[in-house]
Amino acid sequence: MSLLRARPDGPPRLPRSERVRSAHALHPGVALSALVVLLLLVAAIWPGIFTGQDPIEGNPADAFAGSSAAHILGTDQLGRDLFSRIIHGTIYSLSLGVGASLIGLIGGIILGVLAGYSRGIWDRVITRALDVLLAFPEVLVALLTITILGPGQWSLLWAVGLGRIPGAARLVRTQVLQIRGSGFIRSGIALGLSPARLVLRHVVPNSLGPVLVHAVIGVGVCIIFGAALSFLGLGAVPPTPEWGLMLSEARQYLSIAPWIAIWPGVFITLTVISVTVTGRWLQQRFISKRSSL
Amino acid sequence: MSTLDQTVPPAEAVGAVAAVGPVAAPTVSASGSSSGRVAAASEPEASSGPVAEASAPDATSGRVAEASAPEPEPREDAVPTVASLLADASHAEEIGRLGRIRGIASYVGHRILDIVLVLWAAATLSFVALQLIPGNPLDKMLSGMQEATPEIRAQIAAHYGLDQPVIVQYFTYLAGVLRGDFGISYQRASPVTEVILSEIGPTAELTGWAILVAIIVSVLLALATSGRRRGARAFAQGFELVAVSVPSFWLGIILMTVFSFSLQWVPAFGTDGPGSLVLPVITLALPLIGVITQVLRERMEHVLHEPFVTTIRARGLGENRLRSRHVLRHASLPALTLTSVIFGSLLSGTAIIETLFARPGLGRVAVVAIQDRDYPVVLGFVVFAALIFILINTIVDLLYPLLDPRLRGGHT
Repeated sequence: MSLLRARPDGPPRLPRSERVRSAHALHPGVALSALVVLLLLVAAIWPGIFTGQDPIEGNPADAFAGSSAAHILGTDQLGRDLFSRIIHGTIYSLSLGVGASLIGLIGGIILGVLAGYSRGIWDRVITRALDVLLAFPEVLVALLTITILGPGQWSLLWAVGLGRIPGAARLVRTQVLQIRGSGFIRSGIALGLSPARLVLRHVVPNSLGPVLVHAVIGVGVCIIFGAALSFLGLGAVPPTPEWGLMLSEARQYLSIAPWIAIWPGVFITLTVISVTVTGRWLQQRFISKRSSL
Repeated sequence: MSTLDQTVPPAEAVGAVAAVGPVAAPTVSASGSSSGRVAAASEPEASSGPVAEASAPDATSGRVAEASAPEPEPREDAVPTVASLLADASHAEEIGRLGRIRGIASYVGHRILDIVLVLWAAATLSFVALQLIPGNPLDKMLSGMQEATPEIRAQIAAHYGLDQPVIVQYFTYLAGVLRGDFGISYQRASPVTEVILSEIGPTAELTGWAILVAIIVSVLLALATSGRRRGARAFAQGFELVAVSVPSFWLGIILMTVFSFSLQWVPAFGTDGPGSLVLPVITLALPLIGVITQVLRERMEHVLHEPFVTTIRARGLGENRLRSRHVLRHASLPALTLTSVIFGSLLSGTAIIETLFARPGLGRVAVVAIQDRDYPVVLGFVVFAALIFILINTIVDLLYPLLDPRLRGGHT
């Protein structure tokens, strides 16, 4: 992670052998995280593999049951199987994380390329606007978005995603500025390539590295942020098995059935850690690849 | 919320600092000397910088050791310039002082412009948001009243200024923001500014303690784990990852279950007594500790390999004093770039924690206002938070030269 990012501003400190190994070897922790991410993806796409129970309809007679053979993680206040709800909730968290990150990525690329590649007044206008937006905490962007669109799964997606655009745009702009001055772009200009072709075929693909890493690690950030907004009642609406919302509903029953609140939180934490560790590993791979070029 | 994000920006921001400010420069003797010579030759104002800096009384031994290596060479190179400057020293000093005053003035001007720009953007975004919300605000305001006659509607519209054209409403709103007037809450029927000011106390108390705890714990953790054996490093890295990955609302629930419901050590809800602050402060501080420790530790590990550290060690200073007196000071600068992250984290954190622990405060007010569609309060909160945010950023920017005398030269 940032241990690697911090490196460019100073001479490398670790012995070379250790660096190379750490960049390429698949750490057991990373392997485990990748496995968890894989399992979560499967659970999101095909929850039926893991559980046959209904996540929405429960049997009220079974409410607040502890862990048993029938209900691995117990049941919630309406007698719904907790494990089934968590598994069916995977899709909400993952799609929110990936979707919001994508919004930030695409918006960031468009704005970043515009700012980095245009010259003169446009560059200054966009850069200035980005600075102002960067000085705007993401939470406020999210609150404004939800205020406009009203609570719900879709507005949650935009609320989380829009706030990520300025940061991504700044990363792209920095890259574009570097690429624009490099030899092969000047060669392209000399060869008479059209500006559109230059930008789309040469500048953009070469400026994507850092922002892709930003987006991958951002998936974890978005999941946690989305869950927090749902927890506040600004995101998913009942009876959606969204993890943050489940936690929020479980608050009232903390003293009699704490597990209803504990398990969704365990899964959020597990998901975020796995996604982050996997993302950082990808980042290390990317940086070591680039420096070896 | 986005504390986790910090795994990305801090290091990148650290790089930016190193590139912008001369943080890393003096360690590279070649670049240090050449830049010193150029500056001395080109403009008298800049040449007064290094001189003043060298004689600054607070130059700690660490920095002297660091600076002494590259310093002598540029001096010799710059002798002719210095001599010619001494010839009419008073004149040069005058120019230098004037130049510096102008530099500070333009710097302050830029900062004020920034503040105004961000405030204007926040107010405009808020106003646009208000206009974009589908439906007539009057309908929402009157949703509770069955027999709202057209007369009453017109009266209420006039009261809130909703009968004016949009552009007039916009400028009225901007003028109001300038005066600190964000309109009147739909739900509470009192001015938004009053609502915000009356709720700011508990939030300030909570966030203040959280920041204090976070800084103390992170500094201790970074001092204890940076550059130590593998085991300690692995522990620190694992802790940082978990600290930023655990959702604070879940952590709060766990703490509550264990310490309030099971052990009954501290109250779970409310604001009576200092005991009620313990759990909220811990919950709010933990993600901050993760982020700050991470940046501090990595920078300290970086700084521990600098030549000046070897010099200090050679002088026989103990490891603990070396870390706390010299290394920490160098590492604290990049940590300052985390301000915006910390602020964002606190902002979303207070909303969550005040909701969870049933405490009064600004975050709670904002969340309730969104749920109640009390738009003036939401927008007032947004503009107010943006203002606090940019003010804090400005103060932090002004702190850099205080922490690092090398940045005191010119404000560019």
